[in-house]
Amino acid sequence: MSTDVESVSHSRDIALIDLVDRLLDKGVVLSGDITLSVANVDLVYVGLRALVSSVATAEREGVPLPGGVT
Amino acid sequence: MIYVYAITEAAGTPLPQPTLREVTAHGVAVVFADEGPGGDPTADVLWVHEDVVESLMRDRAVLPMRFGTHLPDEEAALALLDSRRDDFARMLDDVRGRVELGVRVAGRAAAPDQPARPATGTEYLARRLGARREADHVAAAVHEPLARIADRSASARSPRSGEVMTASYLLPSERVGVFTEEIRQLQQRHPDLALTCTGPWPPYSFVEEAPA
Amino acid sequence: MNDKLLAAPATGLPEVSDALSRRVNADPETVEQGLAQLVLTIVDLLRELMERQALRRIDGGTLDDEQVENLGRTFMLLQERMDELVEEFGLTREDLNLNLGPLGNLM
Repeated sequence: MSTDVESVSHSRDIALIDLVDRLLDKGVVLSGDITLSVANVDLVYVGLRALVSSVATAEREGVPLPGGVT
Repeated sequence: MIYVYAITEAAGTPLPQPTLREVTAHGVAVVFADEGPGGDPTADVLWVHEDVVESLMRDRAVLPMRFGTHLPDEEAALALLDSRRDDFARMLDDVRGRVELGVRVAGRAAAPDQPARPATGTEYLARRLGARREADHVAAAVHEPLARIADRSASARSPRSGEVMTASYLLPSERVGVFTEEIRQLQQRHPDLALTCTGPWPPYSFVEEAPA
Repeated sequence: MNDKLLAAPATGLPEVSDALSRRVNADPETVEQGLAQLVLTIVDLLRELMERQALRRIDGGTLDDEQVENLGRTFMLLQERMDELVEEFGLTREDLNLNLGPLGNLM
Protein backbone atom coordinates (compact mmCIF):
# COMPACT_ATOMS: atom_id res chain seq x y z
CA MET A 1 0.00 0.00 0.00
CA SER A 2 1.43 3.36 -1.01
CA THR A 3 2.32 5.66 1.85
CA ASP A 4 2.58 8.95 0.05
CA VAL A 5 0.70 11.86 1.62
CA GLU A 6 -1.96 12.11 -1.07
CA SER A 7 -3.02 8.49 -0.86
CA VAL A 8 -3.10 8.55 2.95
CA SER A 9 -5.42 11.55 3.01
CA HIS A 10 -7.53 10.01 0.25
CA SER A 11 -7.95 6.82 2.25
CA ARG A 12 -8.96 8.90 5.28
CA ASP A 13 -11.56 10.58 3.08
CA ILE A 14 -12.97 7.19 2.10
CA ALA A 15 -13.04 6.09 5.73
CA LEU A 16 -14.76 9.38 6.55
CA ILE A 17 -17.60 8.60 4.11
CA ASP A 18 -18.26 5.36 5.96
CA LEU A 19 -17.90 7.08 9.34
CA VAL A 20 -20.43 9.72 8.32
CA ASP A 21 -22.85 7.05 7.11
CA ARG A 22 -22.68 5.42 10.53
CA LEU A 23 -22.64 8.47 12.79
CA LEU A 24 -24.96 10.82 10.95
CA ASP A 25 -28.06 8.99 9.90
CA LYS A 26 -29.70 11.61 7.75
CA GLY A 27 -31.98 9.21 6.04
CA VAL A 28 -35.66 9.10 6.74
CA VAL A 29 -36.22 6.40 9.31
CA LEU A 30 -39.36 4.50 8.51
CA SER A 31 -39.21 2.04 11.35
CA GLY A 32 -41.42 4.03 13.65
CA ASP A 33 -44.43 6.26 13.51
CA ILE A 34 -44.68 9.99 13.19
CA THR A 35 -47.13 12.57 14.37
CA LEU A 36 -47.48 15.65 12.22
CA SER A 37 -48.24 18.72 14.27
CA VAL A 38 -49.08 22.32 13.46
CA ALA A 39 -48.86 24.98 16.15
CA ASN A 40 -48.41 22.32 18.80
CA VAL A 41 -51.60 20.57 17.79
CA ASP A 42 -51.20 16.92 16.81
CA LEU A 43 -53.16 16.55 13.61
CA VAL A 44 -52.10 13.45 11.72
CA TYR A 45 -50.78 10.15 13.01
CA VAL A 46 -48.97 8.20 10.32
CA GLY A 47 -48.31 4.56 10.93
CA LEU A 48 -45.19 4.28 8.83
CA ARG A 49 -44.52 0.67 9.60
CA ALA A 50 -47.91 -0.17 8.10
CA LEU A 51 -47.12 1.99 5.09
CA VAL A 52 -43.83 0.29 4.45
CA SER A 53 -45.36 -3.17 4.86
CA SER A 54 -48.08 -2.41 2.37
CA VAL A 55 -45.55 -0.96 -0.05
CA ALA A 56 -43.43 -4.09 0.21
CA THR A 57 -46.53 -6.16 -0.49
CA ALA A 58 -47.27 -3.95 -3.46
CA GLU A 59 -43.85 -4.72 -4.86
CA ARG A 60 -44.50 -8.42 -4.64
CA GLU A 61 -48.01 -8.35 -5.98
CA GLY A 62 -47.73 -5.51 -8.46
CA VAL A 63 -48.99 -1.95 -8.46
CA PRO A 64 -51.01 -0.23 -11.17
CA LEU A 65 -48.78 1.23 -13.84
CA PRO A 66 -49.18 4.81 -15.08
CA GLY A 67 -51.04 5.37 -18.31
CA GLY A 68 -53.67 2.75 -17.59
CA VAL A 69 -51.50 -0.17 -18.63
CA THR A 70 -52.87 -3.38 -17.17
CA MET B 1 -29.06 16.90 28.81
CA ILE B 2 -26.40 14.23 28.76
CA TYR B 3 -24.54 13.12 25.66
CA VAL B 4 -24.70 9.36 25.20
CA TYR B 5 -21.79 7.59 23.54
CA ALA B 6 -22.84 3.97 23.92
CA ILE B 7 -24.81 1.28 25.69
CA THR B 8 -22.32 -1.27 26.98
CA GLU B 9 -22.16 -4.27 29.21
CA ALA B 10 -21.56 -3.30 32.83
CA ALA B 11 -18.04 -4.69 32.82
CA GLY B 12 -16.83 -2.75 35.82
CA THR B 13 -13.69 -1.81 33.88
CA PRO B 14 -12.43 1.76 34.26
CA LEU B 15 -13.78 4.22 31.72
CA PRO B 16 -11.12 5.28 29.23
CA GLN B 17 -11.51 9.06 29.69
CA PRO B 18 -12.04 11.26 32.76
CA THR B 19 -15.03 13.08 31.20
CA LEU B 20 -16.99 9.83 30.79
CA ARG B 21 -19.56 8.61 33.30
CA GLU B 22 -21.89 5.64 33.42
CA VAL B 23 -25.04 4.40 35.07
CA THR B 24 -25.74 0.70 35.22
CA ALA B 25 -28.72 -1.60 35.71
CA HIS B 26 -29.32 -5.28 34.95
CA GLY B 27 -25.72 -5.77 33.84
CA VAL B 28 -25.96 -3.02 31.21
CA ALA B 29 -24.45 0.48 31.28
CA VAL B 30 -25.20 3.79 29.64
CA VAL B 31 -21.88 5.57 29.01
CA PHE B 32 -22.22 9.34 28.70
CA ALA B 33 -20.67 12.73 29.27
CA ASP B 34 -22.06 16.09 30.29
CA GLU B 35 -21.11 17.43 26.88
CA GLY B 36 -20.46 15.89 23.50
CA PRO B 37 -17.30 16.31 21.44
CA GLY B 38 -18.64 19.41 19.67
CA GLY B 39 -21.76 21.02 18.31
CA ASP B 40 -21.20 20.83 14.59
CA PRO B 41 -20.45 17.42 13.13
CA THR B 42 -17.15 18.25 11.46
CA ALA B 43 -14.80 15.46 10.49
CA ASP B 44 -12.57 16.09 13.54
CA VAL B 45 -15.53 16.07 15.92
CA LEU B 46 -16.87 12.86 14.43
CA TRP B 47 -13.52 11.14 14.88
CA VAL B 48 -13.48 12.21 18.55
CA HIS B 49 -16.85 10.54 19.06
CA GLU B 50 -15.59 7.48 17.18
CA ASP B 51 -12.41 7.30 19.28
CA VAL B 52 -14.43 7.29 22.50
CA VAL B 53 -16.60 4.44 21.24
CA GLU B 54 -13.61 2.45 20.04
CA SER B 55 -11.75 2.87 23.30
CA LEU B 56 -14.80 1.53 25.15
CA MET B 57 -14.80 -1.43 22.80
CA ARG B 58 -11.34 -2.49 23.92
CA ASP B 59 -12.63 -4.17 27.03
CA ARG B 60 -16.41 -4.41 26.87
CA ALA B 61 -19.21 -5.27 24.44
CA VAL B 62 -20.56 -2.01 23.01
CA LEU B 63 -23.73 -0.83 21.28
CA PRO B 64 -22.53 2.46 19.76
CA MET B 65 -24.80 5.48 19.58
CA ARG B 66 -24.87 7.80 16.61
CA PHE B 67 -23.43 11.29 16.87
CA GLY B 68 -25.68 13.70 18.72
CA THR B 69 -27.58 11.18 20.83
CA HIS B 70 -28.82 12.80 24.04
CA LEU B 71 -30.94 11.85 27.02
CA PRO B 72 -32.51 14.32 29.43
CA ASP B 73 -30.52 13.11 32.49
CA GLU B 74 -29.24 10.09 34.41
CA GLU B 75 -32.74 9.18 35.57
CA ALA B 76 -33.81 8.90 31.95
CA ALA B 77 -30.78 6.69 31.27
CA LEU B 78 -31.78 4.35 34.10
CA ALA B 79 -35.36 4.31 32.85
CA LEU B 80 -34.07 3.34 29.40
CA LEU B 81 -32.05 0.48 30.88
CA ASP B 82 -35.19 -0.73 32.64
CA SER B 83 -37.54 -0.49 29.69
CA ARG B 84 -35.26 -2.17 27.15
CA ARG B 85 -33.29 -4.52 29.36
CA ASP B 86 -34.03 -7.63 27.29
CA ASP B 87 -33.28 -5.91 23.97
CA PHE B 88 -29.95 -4.56 25.19
CA ALA B 89 -28.89 -7.89 26.71
CA ARG B 90 -29.69 -9.68 23.47
CA MET B 91 -27.97 -7.10 21.25
CA LEU B 92 -24.87 -7.06 23.44
CA ASP B 93 -24.67 -10.85 23.14
CA ASP B 94 -24.94 -10.51 19.36
CA VAL B 95 -22.04 -8.07 19.10
CA ARG B 96 -19.66 -9.29 21.81
CA GLY B 97 -16.20 -9.92 20.33
CA ARG B 98 -17.42 -8.78 16.93
CA VAL B 99 -16.72 -5.85 14.63
CA GLU B 100 -18.46 -4.30 11.68
CA LEU B 101 -16.95 -4.04 8.21
CA GLY B 102 -18.39 -1.82 5.50
CA VAL B 103 -18.37 -2.79 1.83
CA ARG B 104 -19.26 -0.59 -1.12
CA VAL B 105 -19.36 -1.67 -4.74
CA ALA B 106 -19.21 0.71 -7.67
CA GLY B 107 -20.43 -0.67 -10.95
CA ARG B 108 -19.18 -0.46 -14.46
CA ALA B 109 -18.76 3.04 -15.78
CA ALA B 110 -21.29 4.08 -18.42
CA ALA B 111 -20.18 3.56 -21.98
CA PRO B 112 -18.18 6.65 -22.96
CA ASP B 113 -20.24 7.31 -26.08
CA GLN B 114 -23.53 7.01 -24.23
CA PRO B 115 -25.33 10.37 -24.15
CA ALA B 116 -26.31 11.56 -20.65
CA ARG B 117 -30.00 11.76 -21.42
CA PRO B 118 -31.61 8.73 -23.11
CA ALA B 119 -33.11 9.63 -26.48
CA THR B 120 -36.26 7.59 -26.07
CA GLY B 121 -38.41 6.15 -23.32
CA THR B 122 -37.45 2.69 -24.48
CA GLU B 123 -33.79 3.49 -24.11
CA TYR B 124 -34.39 4.89 -20.63
CA LEU B 125 -36.02 1.63 -19.54
CA ALA B 126 -33.32 -0.40 -21.25
CA ARG B 127 -30.69 1.39 -19.19
CA ARG B 128 -32.70 0.90 -16.03
CA LEU B 129 -33.10 -2.79 -16.83
CA GLY B 130 -29.37 -3.05 -17.31
CA ALA B 131 -28.78 -1.33 -13.99
CA ARG B 132 -31.19 -3.69 -12.21
CA ARG B 133 -29.57 -6.75 -13.71
CA GLU B 134 -26.18 -5.44 -12.70
CA ALA B 135 -27.36 -4.87 -9.14
CA ASP B 136 -28.70 -8.42 -8.98
CA HIS B 137 -25.45 -9.75 -10.41
CA VAL B 138 -23.45 -7.84 -7.82
CA ALA B 139 -25.69 -9.02 -5.03
CA ALA B 140 -25.16 -12.62 -6.01
CA ALA B 141 -21.48 -12.33 -6.81
CA VAL B 142 -20.33 -10.17 -3.94
CA HIS B 143 -22.86 -10.04 -1.12
CA GLU B 144 -23.56 -13.75 -0.87
CA PRO B 145 -20.00 -14.99 -0.32
CA LEU B 146 -19.37 -12.18 2.17
CA ALA B 147 -22.59 -12.88 4.03
CA ARG B 148 -21.49 -16.50 4.40
CA ILE B 149 -18.32 -15.41 6.18
CA ALA B 150 -20.07 -12.88 8.43
CA ASP B 151 -22.47 -13.63 11.26
CA ARG B 152 -24.95 -11.00 10.11
CA SER B 153 -25.30 -8.42 7.41
CA ALA B 154 -27.28 -5.21 7.09
CA SER B 155 -27.99 -2.76 4.35
CA ALA B 156 -28.88 0.41 6.17
CA ARG B 157 -28.88 2.94 3.38
CA SER B 158 -29.42 3.18 -0.33
CA PRO B 159 -26.25 3.03 -2.40
CA ARG B 160 -24.79 6.42 -3.29
CA SER B 161 -24.90 7.51 -6.90
CA GLY B 162 -22.40 5.52 -8.91
CA GLU B 163 -22.64 2.62 -6.49
CA VAL B 164 -24.66 -0.55 -6.83
CA MET B 165 -24.33 -1.89 -3.32
CA THR B 166 -23.48 -0.73 0.16
CA ALA B 167 -23.66 -3.11 3.09
CA SER B 168 -22.31 -3.79 6.57
CA TYR B 169 -21.15 -7.14 7.90
CA LEU B 170 -20.87 -8.24 11.53
CA LEU B 171 -18.17 -10.80 12.29
CA PRO B 172 -15.80 -11.91 15.04
CA SER B 173 -12.64 -9.83 14.97
CA GLU B 174 -10.55 -12.97 14.35
CA ARG B 175 -12.35 -13.46 11.06
CA VAL B 176 -11.49 -10.03 9.58
CA GLY B 177 -8.46 -11.45 7.75
CA VAL B 178 -10.56 -14.15 6.06
CA PHE B 179 -13.11 -11.51 5.08
CA THR B 180 -10.60 -9.10 3.54
CA GLU B 181 -8.94 -11.98 1.71
CA GLU B 182 -12.34 -12.81 0.22
CA ILE B 183 -12.71 -9.17 -0.84
CA ARG B 184 -9.33 -9.36 -2.57
CA GLN B 185 -10.34 -12.53 -4.41
CA LEU B 186 -13.72 -11.13 -5.39
CA GLN B 187 -12.02 -8.03 -6.75
CA GLN B 188 -9.71 -10.17 -8.86
CA ARG B 189 -12.58 -12.28 -10.12
CA HIS B 190 -14.65 -9.20 -11.00
CA PRO B 191 -12.30 -6.57 -12.39
CA ASP B 192 -15.29 -4.65 -13.74
CA LEU B 193 -16.51 -3.90 -10.20
CA ALA B 194 -14.75 -1.59 -7.76
CA LEU B 195 -14.86 -2.94 -4.20
CA THR B 196 -14.08 -0.81 -1.19
CA CYS B 197 -13.91 -2.25 2.31
CA THR B 198 -13.54 -0.20 5.48
CA GLY B 199 -13.34 -1.06 9.16
CA PRO B 200 -13.23 -2.45 11.69
CA TRP B 201 -16.05 -0.30 13.00
CA PRO B 202 -18.10 -0.58 16.15
CA PRO B 203 -21.39 -2.32 15.27
CA TYR B 204 -23.37 0.85 14.40
CA SER B 205 -25.50 -0.94 11.84
CA PHE B 206 -26.56 -3.67 14.26
CA VAL B 207 -28.08 -1.52 16.97
CA GLU B 208 -31.83 -1.55 16.66
CA GLU B 209 -33.88 1.59 17.01
CA ALA B 210 -36.44 1.57 19.77
CA PRO B 211 -39.64 -0.16 18.68
CA ALA B 212 -42.61 2.09 17.89
CA MET C 1 -7.47 6.94 14.70
CA ASN C 2 -6.24 3.97 12.72
CA ASP C 3 -6.45 3.83 8.98
CA LYS C 4 -9.76 2.14 8.29
CA LEU C 5 -9.30 1.38 4.63
CA LEU C 6 -9.00 -2.39 4.32
CA ALA C 7 -9.42 -2.75 0.59
CA ALA C 8 -9.84 -0.38 -2.32
CA PRO C 9 -10.07 -0.79 -6.07
CA ALA C 10 -6.78 -0.82 -7.94
CA THR C 11 -7.80 1.75 -10.50
CA GLY C 12 -9.01 5.03 -9.08
CA LEU C 13 -10.74 5.58 -5.77
CA PRO C 14 -14.35 6.74 -5.59
CA GLU C 15 -15.15 10.41 -5.93
CA VAL C 16 -15.40 11.67 -2.38
CA SER C 17 -15.28 15.42 -2.06
CA ASP C 18 -18.82 16.50 -3.01
CA ALA C 19 -20.79 13.92 -1.09
CA LEU C 20 -18.56 14.42 1.90
CA SER C 21 -18.89 18.15 2.43
CA ARG C 22 -22.64 18.03 1.94
CA ARG C 23 -23.09 15.27 4.48
CA VAL C 24 -20.83 16.62 7.15
CA ASN C 25 -21.74 20.27 7.03
CA ALA C 26 -25.37 20.40 6.02
CA ASP C 27 -28.39 19.93 8.17
CA PRO C 28 -32.06 20.43 7.32
CA GLU C 29 -32.44 24.12 8.12
CA THR C 30 -36.16 24.26 8.44
CA VAL C 31 -39.08 22.16 9.49
CA GLU C 32 -40.37 22.59 5.97
CA GLN C 33 -37.27 21.04 4.48
CA GLY C 34 -37.50 18.13 6.90
CA LEU C 35 -41.09 17.52 5.89
CA ALA C 36 -40.19 17.86 2.22
CA GLN C 37 -37.48 15.28 2.72
CA LEU C 38 -39.99 12.85 4.22
CA VAL C 39 -42.61 13.42 1.56
CA LEU C 40 -40.20 13.27 -1.36
CA THR C 41 -38.63 10.09 0.00
CA ILE C 42 -42.00 8.37 0.03
CA VAL C 43 -42.85 9.70 -3.43
CA ASP C 44 -39.51 8.46 -4.72
CA LEU C 45 -40.14 5.09 -3.13
CA LEU C 46 -43.44 4.75 -4.98
CA ARG C 47 -41.86 5.88 -8.24
CA GLU C 48 -39.10 3.32 -7.81
CA LEU C 49 -41.60 0.55 -7.10
CA MET C 50 -43.68 1.37 -10.16
CA GLU C 51 -40.59 1.49 -12.31
CA ARG C 52 -39.42 -1.89 -11.04
CA GLN C 53 -42.83 -3.35 -11.74
CA ALA C 54 -42.66 -2.03 -15.29
CA LEU C 55 -39.20 -3.54 -15.73
CA ARG C 56 -40.49 -6.89 -14.48
CA ARG C 57 -43.26 -6.73 -17.07
CA ILE C 58 -40.77 -5.88 -19.81
CA ASP C 59 -38.51 -8.72 -18.75
CA GLY C 60 -41.50 -11.00 -18.86
CA GLY C 61 -42.36 -9.84 -22.38
CA THR C 62 -45.96 -8.88 -21.64
CA LEU C 63 -45.81 -5.32 -23.01
CA ASP C 64 -45.75 -4.20 -26.62
CA ASP C 65 -43.27 -1.69 -28.03
CA GLU C 66 -45.63 1.25 -27.82
CA GLN C 67 -46.47 0.55 -24.17
CA VAL C 68 -42.76 0.25 -23.37
CA GLU C 69 -42.00 3.55 -25.05
CA ASN C 70 -44.87 5.35 -23.28
CA LEU C 71 -43.92 3.93 -19.91
CA GLY C 72 -40.28 4.79 -20.46
CA ARG C 73 -41.05 8.40 -21.36
CA THR C 74 -43.33 8.72 -18.34
CA PHE C 75 -40.76 7.35 -15.94
CA MET C 76 -38.01 9.46 -17.46
CA LEU C 77 -40.12 12.57 -16.96
CA LEU C 78 -40.93 11.48 -13.40
CA GLN C 79 -37.21 11.17 -12.69
CA GLU C 80 -36.54 14.64 -14.04
CA ARG C 81 -39.43 16.09 -12.08
CA MET C 82 -38.07 14.43 -8.91
CA ASP C 83 -34.69 16.04 -9.61
CA GLU C 84 -36.36 19.43 -9.93
CA LEU C 85 -38.47 19.04 -6.78
CA VAL C 86 -35.51 17.87 -4.78
CA GLU C 87 -33.46 20.85 -5.91
CA GLU C 88 -36.29 23.28 -5.13
CA PHE C 89 -36.12 22.23 -1.50
CA GLY C 90 -32.36 22.47 -1.27
CA LEU C 91 -31.99 18.70 -1.06
CA THR C 92 -30.18 16.11 -3.13
CA ARG C 93 -31.34 12.67 -4.28
CA GLU C 94 -28.92 11.24 -1.75
CA ASP C 95 -30.98 12.87 1.02
CA LEU C 96 -33.89 10.69 -0.03
CA ASN C 97 -32.26 7.77 1.64
CA LEU C 98 -34.53 5.22 3.18
CA ASN C 99 -33.42 3.71 6.43
CA LEU C 100 -36.00 1.04 7.08
CA GLY C 101 -34.44 -0.20 10.30
CA PRO C 102 -35.03 -3.90 10.81
CA LEU C 103 -36.89 -4.10 7.51
CA GLY C 104 -33.71 -3.41 5.64
CA ASN C 105 -33.09 -1.43 2.54
CA LEU C 106 -35.96 -1.39 0.10
CA MET C 107 -34.07 0.35 -2.64
